[in-house]
Amino acid sequence: VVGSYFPAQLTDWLTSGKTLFLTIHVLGVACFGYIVARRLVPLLRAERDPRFDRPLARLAKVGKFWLGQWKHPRYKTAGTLHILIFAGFILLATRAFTVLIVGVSDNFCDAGPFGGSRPRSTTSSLTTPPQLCSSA
Amino acid sequence: MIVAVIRRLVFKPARYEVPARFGKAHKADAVFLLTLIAILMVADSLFAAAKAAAQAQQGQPVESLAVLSLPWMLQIVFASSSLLTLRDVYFGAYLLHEVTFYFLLCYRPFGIQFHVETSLFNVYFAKLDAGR
Repeated sequence: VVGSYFPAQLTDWLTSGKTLFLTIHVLGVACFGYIVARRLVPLLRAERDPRFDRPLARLAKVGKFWLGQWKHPRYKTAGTLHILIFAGFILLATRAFTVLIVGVSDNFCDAGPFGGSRPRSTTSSLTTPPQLCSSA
Repeated sequence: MIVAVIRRLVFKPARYEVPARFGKAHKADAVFLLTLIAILMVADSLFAAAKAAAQAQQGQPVESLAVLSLPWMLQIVFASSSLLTLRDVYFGAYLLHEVTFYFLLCYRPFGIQFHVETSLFNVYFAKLDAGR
């Protein structure tokens, strides 16, 4: 009965807003790109200094000091809190990007980092909620 | 997030105060950013809970939600909701999440959390021979 309010060709509950979601994506990325471009102007006009060399050494630094939060245990309380908050930020950011993709991709499954990769059903309607991913 | 906001507004630890020579404290900005992050988390939780509740009602395998997490609690609240309601919550929560995410992304460069977006690049492009 409830399903009669909606077209049967809905692939899932987000399909009806796909154009809206895509528009917000484009506007959001465009706005952020403009802000970043303005912020990069002083860097690009400053004295040149090569910072693209030795990528592996730089990635190692990122792994140690950014992802690994190597310096923070120096301050027991504030450092530990920062590590916890940083871990929360990584989880939140990962989840946020995942949710963003779900709304505009027909083949992306938001089963989390340990989920499978089965594409969503293409015949479901309101009475068929979004399908879970499965490794089967 | 609630604890962080309360610490900003009620308890006010001394180390949060900014000496005048370093400029303003930006407390309002801190609370505003915490609120945006809280909205992001609530929207995500509503999205996940509505989906799980709908799957449970349809007899489908339900995505496991961490016990005592916000989505887990909201899923219980939604257990008796109609599919129409769940659809609206699912759609609305996604929209709220998307708008909040991009607003936060674009607002951060103007607030006290810009380092959240730049820290990775700061570390990657830092001088490798600093201190030598």
